Amino acid sequence: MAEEAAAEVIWNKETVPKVMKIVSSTLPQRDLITLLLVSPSIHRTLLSHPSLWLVLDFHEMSNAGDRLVSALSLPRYHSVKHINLEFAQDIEDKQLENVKSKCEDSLLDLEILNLNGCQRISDKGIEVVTNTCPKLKVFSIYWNVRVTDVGITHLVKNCKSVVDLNLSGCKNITDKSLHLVADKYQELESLNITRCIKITDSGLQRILLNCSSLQNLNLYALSTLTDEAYKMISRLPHLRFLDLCGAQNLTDDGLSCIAMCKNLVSLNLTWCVQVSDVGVIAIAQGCRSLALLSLFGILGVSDRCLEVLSSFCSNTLKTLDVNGCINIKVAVFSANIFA
Amino acid sequence: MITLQSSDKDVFEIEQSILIQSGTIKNMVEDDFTFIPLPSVDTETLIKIIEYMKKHADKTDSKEKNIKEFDKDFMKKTLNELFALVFAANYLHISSLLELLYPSIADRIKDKITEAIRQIFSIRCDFTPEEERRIIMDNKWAHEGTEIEGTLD
Repeated sequence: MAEEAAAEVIWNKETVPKVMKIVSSTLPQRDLITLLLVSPSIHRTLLSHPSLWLVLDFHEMSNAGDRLVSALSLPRYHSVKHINLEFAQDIEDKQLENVKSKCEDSLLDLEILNLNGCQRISDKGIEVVTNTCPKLKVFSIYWNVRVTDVGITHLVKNCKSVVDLNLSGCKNITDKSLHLVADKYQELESLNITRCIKITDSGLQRILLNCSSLQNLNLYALSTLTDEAYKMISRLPHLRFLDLCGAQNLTDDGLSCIAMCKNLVSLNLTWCVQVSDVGVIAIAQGCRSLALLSLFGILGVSDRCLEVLSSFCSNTLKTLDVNGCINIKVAVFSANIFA
Repeated sequence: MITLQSSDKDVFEIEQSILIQSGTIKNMVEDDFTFIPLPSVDTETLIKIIEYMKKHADKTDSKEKNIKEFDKDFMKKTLNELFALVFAANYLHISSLLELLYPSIADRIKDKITEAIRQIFSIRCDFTPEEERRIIMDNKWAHEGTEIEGTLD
C-alpha cells in the first residue's frame, strides 16, 4: 500500500505535470488556463515556464478591454510578447487608455499587436497603445477606416522597430503615411496596403526607394497606381510575395522590371488586364523560384507564355491560375507540362 | 551500428541512419559516440521508439500511406504508454514523433472542464478551497460565457 501511495505521489507531483508542460505548447489558451486549476503541481510547473505565457489571445471575445486588463495584472504576463485582439468586441480608445493607466509596464516587451477588425479604435487609441509598447515589431489593424495619417505618425514616433505592417482596408491612409513609414522603417519586411485607395504612385515610390528589405508586398485593389511606381519594385532584391490583383495600369514594361526580383515565389496578377505574353515571359525568365502565379482574367496571355513558364519554372511552380484566360487554348491543364 | 542501452540495461544495436531521427542521438554520434546509455528510457519504451524510427527511416513517397497506417496504429496505446513515449521522444528530440503524440494527449484536455481532466488523468487535486477560489478569480477573463460541460472521455 505504501508503494502504491508513493507511486501516486510521483504520478501527481512529477509525471503528470511534466507531460502537461511538454504538451502545453500546443494547447489553445483556454485549455492551458484550465490546466492551471487541475492541481497545485501542474499549476506550479506551468507557471515556472515563462515561455508558455508570452501570448494573450482574445480574438472574437466580448469585453476584450476588461479581459486584457485582468490578464495583464497577473505577473505571468508581464513579459507578454503577442496580443491578439482580432475582431474582439468592446475594445475602443477608452479601453486602451484604461490598459495604459493600469498595466503600462506589462507591455514593454510586446512585439506583436493584432488589432484587425477593431473598427472603433481611432488615432487616439493608436497613440495610447503604441506609447506603451516601444519594442513593437508587428502591427496589424486591418479594416479600420478611422485610422488616419495621424495614427501612423504616432506609430512611427513611438515604435522604432516595426518590420511588419498591415493596413489593409484602412481607406483613409494617404501617401503621407507611406512617406513616414518609408523614412522610419527602412528594415521593413512586410507591408500590406490592400484597398488603401488614397495612395498614389508617390507614396509607393518612397517605400520602394527606402525599404529594400521588403519580402512581402500586398497592393491588392490599388487600381490607380501606374508603371511609374511598379517599375521601382525591381529595387527589392528580397521580394518573395507580391500581390498586384487589380493593377489595371500595370503594363508589360512594368512587369518586366518586376521580373528583376529573382527571389519571387508568389505573384498575383489577377485582373492585370494590360499584361500580355511579353510580361509573363519576362517573369518566367527572371523568377526561377516561382511557386504560385495567377493570371486570372488576363485576356492578353496565350499558350506561348505557358510554354516558357514550363521550360523555366517547372521545378518550382505548383499553382497556376489561368481562369478566364480565354486565349489559352490548352483544354486540360495537366501536370505533365510541369513534369 | 550504434548501441543503445535502456534504463533496464538491455542493449540494442541499430543502424546510425535510422537513429539520426533523434536529435539527441545525432549529436552524440557526431561526437563519435557508438555506445549511448539512455538511463531515462526503459526497455519497453525504447523498443517502441526503435520501431517508430525504423518505420520512419524510409520516407519515399510510395511508403507514405503505409507510414500513415502505422502511425494510426502506433498511437493506440494506454495513457501510461503514451506518457512514457512523450518523455522519451522529448528527451531524444524526435520531433515527428512528438508531433504525433501531442494530439493524443491534447485531445483529452481540449474543451474539458477541470474535473473531467482530473478523472481522465487520475489526478488528485489538493488545492485548498481558498487557493482554488483565488485561481478561478484570477483567470476568469480567459473563459467566454459559461464553462463547457466536458464529456468524460
